[in-house]
Amino acid sequence: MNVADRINRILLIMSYVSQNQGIWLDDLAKKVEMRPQDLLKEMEFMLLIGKPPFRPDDYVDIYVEDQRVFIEYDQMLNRPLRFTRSEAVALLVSLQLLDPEVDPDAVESLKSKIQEVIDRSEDPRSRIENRVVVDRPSRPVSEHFALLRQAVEEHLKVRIDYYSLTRNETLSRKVRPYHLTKRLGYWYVEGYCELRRDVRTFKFDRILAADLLNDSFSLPEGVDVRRGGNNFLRFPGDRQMRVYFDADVAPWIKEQWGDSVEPGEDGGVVLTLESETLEFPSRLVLRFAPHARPLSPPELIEKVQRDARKVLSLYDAPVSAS
Amino acid sequence: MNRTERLLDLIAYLLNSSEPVSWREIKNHFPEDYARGIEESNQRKFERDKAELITLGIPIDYKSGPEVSKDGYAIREDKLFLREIEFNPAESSLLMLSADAVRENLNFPYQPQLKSALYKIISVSQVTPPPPEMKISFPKGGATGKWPNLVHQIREALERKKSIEIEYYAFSTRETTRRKVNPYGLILRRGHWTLVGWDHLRQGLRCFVLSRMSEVIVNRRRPGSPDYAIPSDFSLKPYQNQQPWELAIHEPVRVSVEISEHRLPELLPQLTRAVPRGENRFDIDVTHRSGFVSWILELKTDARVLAPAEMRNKISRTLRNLL
Repeated sequence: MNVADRINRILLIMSYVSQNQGIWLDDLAKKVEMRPQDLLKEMEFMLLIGKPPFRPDDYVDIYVEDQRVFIEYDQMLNRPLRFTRSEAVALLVSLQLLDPEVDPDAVESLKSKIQEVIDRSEDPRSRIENRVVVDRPSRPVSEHFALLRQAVEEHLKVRIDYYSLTRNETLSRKVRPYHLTKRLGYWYVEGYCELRRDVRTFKFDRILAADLLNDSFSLPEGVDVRRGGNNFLRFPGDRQMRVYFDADVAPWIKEQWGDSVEPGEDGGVVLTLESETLEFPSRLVLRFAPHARPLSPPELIEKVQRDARKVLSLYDAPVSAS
Repeated sequence: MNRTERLLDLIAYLLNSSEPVSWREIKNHFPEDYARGIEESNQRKFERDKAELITLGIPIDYKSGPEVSKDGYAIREDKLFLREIEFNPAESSLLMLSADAVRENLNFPYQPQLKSALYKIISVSQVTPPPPEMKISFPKGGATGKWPNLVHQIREALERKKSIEIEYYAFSTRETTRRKVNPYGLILRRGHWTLVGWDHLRQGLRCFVLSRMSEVIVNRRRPGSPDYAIPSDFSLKPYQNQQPWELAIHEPVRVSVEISEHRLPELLPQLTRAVPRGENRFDIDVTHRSGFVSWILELKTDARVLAPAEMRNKISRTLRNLL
């Protein structure tokens, strides 16, 4: 830990104990992420703050009684200091992750309150928050967001028209929505799909229509958005598909698919995917054409050819005026 | 006396003084630290300490003039503390929703700073847990654990505007080159951290994916002075939502496309720079043909190029290769 971080932590301990006199030692240690024995050592060091000659109450007296921590001093450091420049930026950058749709009024007022605190303590000329971007540009998430959030909160079933990319079809489904998650800038709803009789993840961008049904459901035991995520976006099914990518595109495939890639001929790579449908692997081949070639199973080779012919028919036909 | 102790003592000394303190008084109070050897070195040492405290959020000013009892250094108490922030439960819950995504994630460039900001907030206001029905996830970085280090090194260089030297493997040329870069911004795009900066080798702005870097060395010379200035007209926005066909590889070709209606909600955010020509027709300026063709082909029959013939022919040729 560097000098600045240590001082920051000491000042936090001082202000935190001032605000919470008698806090349990273990609780304070957890708050400042230290082992209790390390915290005690740091408190011994804090007793040395100040230089003689001391006036009455000049020194910091921080002590433990019956496992509770107290502080006594007449100095001004009994409240947290203003945000440092980096802390202000950290808050602003993390708030980029909040889309207005999550709660339009609260998101706006939260951002403006944080901004106001920063404006009061920061030199506006030195800001760098626009130098780090952790999310895509703000854009409408989905017109159905509020309705789905209500359904999740009230445990109500919904009917959605959903375009499935892995099946290339739009179907109407009854869904019991469990929770909403955001990953890599996109929002998803996860829930039990009565059509597929299994838990599925639906991307908001592909929900074409949504209706709230007057039909409630009970959340199954063990469903917890904080713990979830292991099955997130995994293709259901275990049919193995193998696709060859030549040396020109191999680095991108290795970067994207890592463990599922083996070396192939002429500097290329072979990607093995597990998928219930042929749709995604076929799209992948088309995307990387002419640098990709389906290897197996034979149905995938046929599917790629069928898809290529279908797309080609768009270009063989003349373009009609709009 | 070690530096941590000296800085804390300096804070205590300045805070306890009822009036500004002169450089002579500071030297007298800290004879071992600021009054030994050459005067100029002592002054520099004090300036370094003062700069560190200012970085920590402690506003030290030199006060002079008729409105002060005497000239000297003082802490501006009106700017020292965090004001109380009153969040309502919904706001507080959302703050924790976004913070939960990144506060334990080393791949977030400001992870330690966010944690200390949250401690301060918790000290002055009540907080509510995030909404139980929602979660925001943030990518944890490469399996090698290389990203977090690179992210923090580049963030630090960016803050202090220090040049960096990188070893970079370019996928397009399949070559590793050593380059000097002035970092202008850091973007998380499609799960990959990307540095945007001035590339001294190519004499232009370039993007570098962090997972393709094997080494980053931040210039340690003159740590307190910036190596470069970011042009005032530079913006990260064009890079934030940059699409594969927007990479500046060749002169722009205007392409007219038609998109199936059921794909519009998903694809419209990618077409922010396209010119709408009706409900589902768009004109797109393409500066990277191959990137565009990949995008169109993946969409299969949900997107069709209407013009120019050159682009339609390229797509046909690519498809015929698969048959």
